[in-house]
Amino acid sequence: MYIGPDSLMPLASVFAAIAGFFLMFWRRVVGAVKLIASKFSTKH
Amino acid sequence: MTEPRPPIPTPARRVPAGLADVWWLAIAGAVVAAAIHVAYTEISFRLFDRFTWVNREFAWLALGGYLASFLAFAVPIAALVLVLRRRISLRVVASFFAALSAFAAILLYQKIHPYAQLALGIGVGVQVGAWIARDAARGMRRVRAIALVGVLSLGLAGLAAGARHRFGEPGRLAALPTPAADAPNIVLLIMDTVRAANMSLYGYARATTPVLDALAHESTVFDWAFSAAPWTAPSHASMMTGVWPSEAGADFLGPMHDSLPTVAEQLAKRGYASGGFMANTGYAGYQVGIARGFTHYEDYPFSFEQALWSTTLAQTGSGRNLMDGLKPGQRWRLRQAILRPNFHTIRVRRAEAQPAAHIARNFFAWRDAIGPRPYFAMLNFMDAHEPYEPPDGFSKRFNGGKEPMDHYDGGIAYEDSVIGTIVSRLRERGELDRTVIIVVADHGEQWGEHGLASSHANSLYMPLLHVPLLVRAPGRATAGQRISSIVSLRDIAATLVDLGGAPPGTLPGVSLANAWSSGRTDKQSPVVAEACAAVNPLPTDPTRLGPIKGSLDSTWHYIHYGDGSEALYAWRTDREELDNRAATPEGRAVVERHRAAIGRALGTGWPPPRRGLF
Repeated sequence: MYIGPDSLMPLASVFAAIAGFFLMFWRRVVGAVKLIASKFSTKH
Repeated sequence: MTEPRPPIPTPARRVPAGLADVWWLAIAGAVVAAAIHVAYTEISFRLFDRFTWVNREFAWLALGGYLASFLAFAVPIAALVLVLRRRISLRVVASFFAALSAFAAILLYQKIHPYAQLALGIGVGVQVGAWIARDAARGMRRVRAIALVGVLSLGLAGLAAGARHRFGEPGRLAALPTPAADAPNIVLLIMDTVRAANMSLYGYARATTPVLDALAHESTVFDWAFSAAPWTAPSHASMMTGVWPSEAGADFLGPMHDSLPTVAEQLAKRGYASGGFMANTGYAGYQVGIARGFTHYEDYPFSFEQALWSTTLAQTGSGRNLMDGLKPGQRWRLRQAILRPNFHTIRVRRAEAQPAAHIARNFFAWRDAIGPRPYFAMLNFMDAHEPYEPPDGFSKRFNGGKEPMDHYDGGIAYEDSVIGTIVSRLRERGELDRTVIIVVADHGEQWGEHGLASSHANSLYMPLLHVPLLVRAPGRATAGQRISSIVSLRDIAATLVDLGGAPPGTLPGVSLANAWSSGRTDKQSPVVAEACAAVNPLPTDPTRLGPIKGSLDSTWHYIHYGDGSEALYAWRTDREELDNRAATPEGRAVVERHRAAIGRALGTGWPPPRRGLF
């Protein structure tokens, strides 16, 4: 089987897809992180 | 005491999009995409010497293409805004056009999977859309400024880039010295990808070249002319400079060296106007470097389709289907573009090749404009090149066009007919007999030989190297003469400047005038050929192993591959080159001789050192 640049998904694609996802859902991601962080944070 | 809380910004989604906002956002998105694309192509070509396969006036063509694409998306969005009475938020519209712009720009980087490109584009669009809508009045002021400044600057930059080329010819002609009174016109007709074996001029069973068959009675025909390279850029570079392909430097990625003197430059010193009319825009266009010295050079056509083709969006599989789907009989492509989205960009962004008749028409229009001055014209025809689609019914001329080679032969026949038209028009104008016509091909084509189907550039086998060479030079080349000894197209450059009156040694190589005067070729350049290493090769491509060097003599064809292996064929008797004699006792001595010949020709030791892809 021929494997060349066209048939490989380079690492850059994975990074690009992850970056795209974060940019699309940035508010929700940040909100979710804050929520999780607040659950584990110590309340004074 | 609690600190005062900062004001809560108005949620962006509550700002509705107006009709004008849609248009401004579309224009600004197009401007940003075009600016990134133009910057990318300029940096790639001018700083890194990389082909970008674009028109000289790419800046305004790309701007026009992106504007057309983005406004096509804007029309239904504007209709929705009208119908839904401003219930679509500005943030959504801004995000859409920003995403489209980002996606178009990211498509330039082809090493990311298309769906990852799409995801990243949408992500960037969402953020930019939110930023614009956060302060809608201020955001839209910026959008309008980007749109206006971008349209003006890109449009002017594009026109300025082409101005010297477009309007500078009268000045260039006026600067030429007075030519010799007896200087002949020279017309070099290059049949791209036409191998000698498929021409009736060389004994092919099909009457593919009746015009050339007849012209041969008034011309000298070289029965065994060999190209110095198996594909367009290095072959043209060699023919225009007289150096071997690896010395010229043009390969799949970048242009030839800009320090090499060219035929057009040398002929200009002798008062010649020069015009290039190239159907093969990608590898015989101005970016290759062979346009240097021409007073006039036409390659990429100007059209609405070209403008659209200047966008990354149109270069995707779906983009191309959308464009082609507007043509009659290809409506199925529209469905395919939508139902089977394909965002893979087409690697070589080449223009649609102009048919030979258009190339000839452009040549005569130029010829009319330059007045009585002698001229050198180079015409490149692409009708026999893949995708083998000759016009005017020629595709069905042989065998009803059932097989791809029938179309290839039809393309050759079409080009032959156009050559007939050129000769007739020169005769009608009364200048045929003071015009030297040289018909040649830059390389041939493989049709399954050695398992290499309809391709070139990837080997140095005979189908790629054996090309036509016909010279009609009244009063110079003997009419009806056929020369059966071997010659190299490397000597075309020396021949052209010799015809123009330049002394021997002006360019490397030996004028073929020596051969057509004496019928002997022993003083000509050796027949050496070079194929550069492949970029993205197929597993069957011999060039996947690295660059290939080869040489021919009257009996033997020697090939040295990138992995060091060698082949030797007795090409006169073994026409299909199936019996490798390199390892035989007789062959070993021949191989040694050819290694030395290649080393001498290239001025290197053995094996020759790598120069880029060569």
